[in-house]
Amino acid sequence: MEPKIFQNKSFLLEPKKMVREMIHDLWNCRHLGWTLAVRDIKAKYRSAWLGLAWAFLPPIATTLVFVVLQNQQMLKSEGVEVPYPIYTMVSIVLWQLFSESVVAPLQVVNGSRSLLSKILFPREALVVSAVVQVCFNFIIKLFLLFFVFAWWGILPTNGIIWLPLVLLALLALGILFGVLIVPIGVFYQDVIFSLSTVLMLLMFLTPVGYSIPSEGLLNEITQWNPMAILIQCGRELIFTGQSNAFIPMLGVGLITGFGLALGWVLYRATFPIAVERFSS
Amino acid sequence: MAETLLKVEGLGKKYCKDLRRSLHYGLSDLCRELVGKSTDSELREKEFWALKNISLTLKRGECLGIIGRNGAGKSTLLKIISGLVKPTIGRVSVHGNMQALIELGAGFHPMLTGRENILINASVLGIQRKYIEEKLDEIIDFSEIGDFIDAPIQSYSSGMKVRLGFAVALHMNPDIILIDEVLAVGDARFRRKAQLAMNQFLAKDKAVLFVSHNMHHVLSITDRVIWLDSGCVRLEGETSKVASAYLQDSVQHLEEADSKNQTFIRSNEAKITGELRVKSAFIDCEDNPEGRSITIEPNQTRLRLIIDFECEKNLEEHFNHTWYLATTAGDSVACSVIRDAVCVKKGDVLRREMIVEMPPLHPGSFVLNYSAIQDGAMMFDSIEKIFSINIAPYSKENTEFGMQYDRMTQGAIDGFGVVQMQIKYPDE
Repeated sequence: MEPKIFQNKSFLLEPKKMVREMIHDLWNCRHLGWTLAVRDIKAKYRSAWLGLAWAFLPPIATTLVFVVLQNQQMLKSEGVEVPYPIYTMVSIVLWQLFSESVVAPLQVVNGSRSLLSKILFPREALVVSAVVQVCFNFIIKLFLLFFVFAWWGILPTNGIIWLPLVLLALLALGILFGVLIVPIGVFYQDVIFSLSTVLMLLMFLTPVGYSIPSEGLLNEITQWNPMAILIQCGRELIFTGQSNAFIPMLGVGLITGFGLALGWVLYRATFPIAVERFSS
Repeated sequence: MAETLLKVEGLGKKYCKDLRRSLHYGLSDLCRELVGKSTDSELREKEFWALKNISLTLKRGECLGIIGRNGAGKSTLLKIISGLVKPTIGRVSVHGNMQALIELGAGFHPMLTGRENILINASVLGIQRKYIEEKLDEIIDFSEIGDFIDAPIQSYSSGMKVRLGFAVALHMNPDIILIDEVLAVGDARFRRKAQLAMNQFLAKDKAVLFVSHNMHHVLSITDRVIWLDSGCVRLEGETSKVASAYLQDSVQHLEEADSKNQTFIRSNEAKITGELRVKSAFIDCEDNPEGRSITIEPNQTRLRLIIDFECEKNLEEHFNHTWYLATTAGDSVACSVIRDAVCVKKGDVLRREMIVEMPPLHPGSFVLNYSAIQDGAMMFDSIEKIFSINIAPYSKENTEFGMQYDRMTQGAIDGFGVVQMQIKYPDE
């Protein structure tokens, strides 16, 4: 067996070894990641009186807010051919898949501080655990969507077979942002404090509760907003069966993939340095 | 020649005292890491060396102890060896499978049941799930949790949690195990169980690195000891040699504290009448250079104690000399009472010389507390830690059994008490 060496030398200097270790760790952490996710999910819902209801109450509440705003003519929804509540709820569920992915990695890392400072386990397990938890929440919300579609008697189009690609891209993009804020978030609490505000702002900049305006500043922003591209694409695939945003969606997905690889390296570099600062 | 499993060469680690600056340094270290540079090995502002130039090797079948006072760098060293924290300079090479047991029950969630937590803990420690599922009953049995195994562990006592964690940890199968005082928790029965398990582990030709500030634990299992003092190796070698030097040093520390505090500390002030006050006290002989403390071999059975009293009024009364033998932590070990009578005038000085039989004691520091108790629950005087007694460690020639045999041949009884008392007047 090859000896393990710990010394003060950047692991970037040996890229081959680094990649080998990364893949080795990712493969080895799958059980631990799953176990930690199951632990957190069980503990979360076991101590809540409403239990699993908390997985779909937030999207319902947000949808209601948007429905009221739209009803009062405060939001434009031109060109929307399906009932507005369904349209918004689909957008919100997609958005929350993204936003939960942003929050989850830092949340799991911060919740595991004492574990991190005492045991050397593959740090990737925490991100795997975050992904599993986000997916679990999303699957529950899917049941909610089934129910809503059935209620209005609407059938999604054939385009839905491409939807998993969009979902994967949304998840990956969220996790990428989430992993990128971990190195700062473990040192400074400011990240946690500002996260919900920033996400709220981003949600309003993304056409979640409204259709994309045909001109103006918001139109410019949406063109370059990756979340807008993904959500737009997902929505169109469900309701119209084809989307102009399909190719841009693939582009976003590809860039996100490269980004994740870099984010992963950054994430790994963070731990030995961060652990000595929050260890007791 | 046994195979070297762990090698530490010229290890050094610096830390920053200031929180804000430390976070800032953390980010800048991270940036350096990402451009492929290593951290600065020069001290930056408000930094200090927590460890300096540490080297050690650990071979198969060996048990190495690391001792040192709080803050000597023991835990930091363990964290670097286990790979949690990077060293600033030097390197650690680990051959074989290593497990650090820095905390028992890592990953436990209070809301979940004991059974669920066993699986989580095992996962965190890297034990195969299938293996642990097979051993589940054995683990539950060993932990002695009983029916509570299906209750959330927030309802467990801290002892139960530790036992559960230890039962899981036993099923790891590393070549090297790093242990950080985890054995110090739990009751005596658990400690014995844990010790037995460790000995079995060593018998399987593994290696143990054991970190503790408790001399007794270190003495009982390690072959070799490294003594850390403010981040540097102070002494390294055979357990008995290092242990006796370490003990000597702590005695010196205690004595320094004692010499600063030559006055008596009185306890139970409310019950003290002060009609007869302790004026001075000596152990062994009147001109004992160490004053009120003494270091003896574990096979020494008797001590001579001398106390001078000062009378505040004319007295004709019976009273009891009461001796309490206690550990420095304050746990009582034994007590003894002897009856006495005085017939003195105000201003008289009175001396009592007592020969005290000592019980067999393990190496370590002990104290004697003294009270002169009058009939009717009032006291003439009551002094805390009037004497301190340090028992020297065992050595190769003077093993625990040899010492006990020595005591036997001296006709020692295994009790504690005054066996002889002489009444003297200092002026005589």
